[in-house]
Amino acid sequence: MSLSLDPRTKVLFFSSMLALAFICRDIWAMIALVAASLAASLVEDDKTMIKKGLKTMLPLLAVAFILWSFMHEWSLFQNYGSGVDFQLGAFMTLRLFLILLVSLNFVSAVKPGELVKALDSFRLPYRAVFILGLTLRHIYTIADDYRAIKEAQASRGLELDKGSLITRIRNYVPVLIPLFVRSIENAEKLTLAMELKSFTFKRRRYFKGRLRAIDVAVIAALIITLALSIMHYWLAVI
Amino acid sequence: MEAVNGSELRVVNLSCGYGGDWVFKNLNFSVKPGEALAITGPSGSGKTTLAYCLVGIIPNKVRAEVEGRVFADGRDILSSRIRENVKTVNIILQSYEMQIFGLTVEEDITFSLENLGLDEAEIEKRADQILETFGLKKYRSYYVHELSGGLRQRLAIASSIATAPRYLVMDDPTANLDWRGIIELGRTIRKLKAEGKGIVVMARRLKGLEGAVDRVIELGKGEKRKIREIPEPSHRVGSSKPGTPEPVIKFEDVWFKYARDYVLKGVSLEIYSGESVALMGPNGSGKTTLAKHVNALLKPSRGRVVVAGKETGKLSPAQLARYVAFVFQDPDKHITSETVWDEVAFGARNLGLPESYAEEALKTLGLQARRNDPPYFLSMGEKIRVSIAGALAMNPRILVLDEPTTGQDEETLEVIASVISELKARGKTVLVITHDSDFALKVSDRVVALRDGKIAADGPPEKILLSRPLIEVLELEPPSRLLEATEVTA
Repeated sequence: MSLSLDPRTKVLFFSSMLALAFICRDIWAMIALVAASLAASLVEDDKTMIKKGLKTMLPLLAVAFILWSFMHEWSLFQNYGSGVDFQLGAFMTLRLFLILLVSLNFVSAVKPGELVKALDSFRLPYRAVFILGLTLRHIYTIADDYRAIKEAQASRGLELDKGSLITRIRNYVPVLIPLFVRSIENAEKLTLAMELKSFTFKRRRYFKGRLRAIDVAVIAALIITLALSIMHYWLAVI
Repeated sequence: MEAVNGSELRVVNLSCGYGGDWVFKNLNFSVKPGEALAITGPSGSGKTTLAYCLVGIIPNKVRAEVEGRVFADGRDILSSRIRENVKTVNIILQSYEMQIFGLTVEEDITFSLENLGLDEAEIEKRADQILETFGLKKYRSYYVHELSGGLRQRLAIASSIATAPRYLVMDDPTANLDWRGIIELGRTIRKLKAEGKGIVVMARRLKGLEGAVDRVIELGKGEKRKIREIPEPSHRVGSSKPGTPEPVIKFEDVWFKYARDYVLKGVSLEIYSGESVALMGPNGSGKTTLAKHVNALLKPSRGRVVVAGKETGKLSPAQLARYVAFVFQDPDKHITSETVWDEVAFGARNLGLPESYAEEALKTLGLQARRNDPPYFLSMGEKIRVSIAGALAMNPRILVLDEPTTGQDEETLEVIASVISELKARGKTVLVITHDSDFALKVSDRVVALRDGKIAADGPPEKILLSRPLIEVLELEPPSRLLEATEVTA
């Protein structure tokens, strides 16, 4: 988010939006949530991933609308009655759209390091948080290795995407085996790098970020919205 | 035994080897705080092995036979744990990217300081000092992937210095740096010396670092007081005349972008059969991106590329493998087979070519003795030779070499130069990406210099590489001939 919110605020914002997607049960509330999420994605610096993700998911949303409008009576989760119900179709499609949008926003706005810092500052066990961070960091390394091996094999005449499904799977063996070996090698290098940095789980980590006024305002708004939604939809007191 | 309690990093009768074969024997030298020692040697001479011994990675982490002792300010390195050693002597590994843990510059420095158990205020104070010293202050909030190769390496050095070692070992730090990066590294070494750090630099060649190192040891040849000069090219290889009027590689107004910004901006280029072209330019200028268009690993966002009469946009890299062989920059990432022989024969087998091609390539690159060895155990120079052999075994019309000089000694460079000469004589085309101006002068008929995704110069090597104004504008490494001329003038 280019509003440069604190990572903790970002994590709370996206978790609350996901929670609200399941708490709210009327279409107007859902429209308001989608609008808020769209606004959040508009202030995003790089919208490429969000645009690409939503484009891929469009057919899924269309299928969801048709299924929920015409075939809701066979739902495994709840009895929605029988007959055609376009409002239910629209509500469920909006909910699915909201979940996808929030997830894409989250991946795009919260960098792995920020997520780790935020979870750490919530006082989760450092061992678990650090391993999560290493895993997230390692995903980039594995992706890089995968690309390099694929390029090397394709440049040497290995056709990867031709033939039947079985042939294609077999074609990928010379890519996947070296990738597996490389990952083990990288893990070894990583343990060496950790030793060279005198790493230990016992040391305290410091989170430098300070919540600013805008963070406090966003968190307060989230708490109020969540509380009102729970009181309205679950407890029915307002 | 000599006194070992003084302030110095001292190597006493050190021998090291694997599986009964000694890589080096009875080494003796020392480095004092405020001094920089360079250790050079041919590919496979044991520079990395020695670097590992100086920090205790051998025998702690890598199994090897070791005799002799290493002392750092009196501490017996070989019998201490790495975790303890790094407080006195630390290392910048050849693959230094693995040593960077933080997502941002500041995070990485802070991570090292947190490991020392300092309190928050002290961490902040020291992080500021380190960022200032290494000129990283303006990059403090930058993501690591946004930094150039040279800056990333400076960050790795700064993070290692954060653990406050007295001595720092750098394993082949110039391998992937452009000229600007090497000059920056020299400045960093001088700064570290001024702060009283003892530096050991392992490198294939010292060009650009001459003013920063005090002494040189050539592995296997004893200590020298003078920096060894890179020999002058004795002859020009091949002809400068294009073989046929029809270009074998043709770029027509090619634009390319990975995500947001264009990396190639309207490149038009024609390369002919029998030509050897050196593609040069600073890091990030688009050299590798351009080369990957030749075998369709990348397709133009705009414009078109025609190779051997075929438009690459419609072909896969595997289809083009019959015409183009590609030797990648980082062999560690691209070598995939279990033995040297399997690696060399892989491409030929895929293309249905006889294995005699692979045999011949193995012989040409002098790798017969290593035929059954796992590539994992080879030196960087040997790995590059394996990659080149694998490419030759495919009998290509066009050979693309991405930074083949990385980690190579003069002898291997001679072998690569003769391979290029031989290919040209047979009417093949060679495209070499290199920072090494001496090598470019030696092997190429033509230099194409890129800058910011555009062709900034295209012409005979002598005209471009021996012109001081052009070298400066294009940010290329000056050839030894030019540097010597400067010294004489001075």
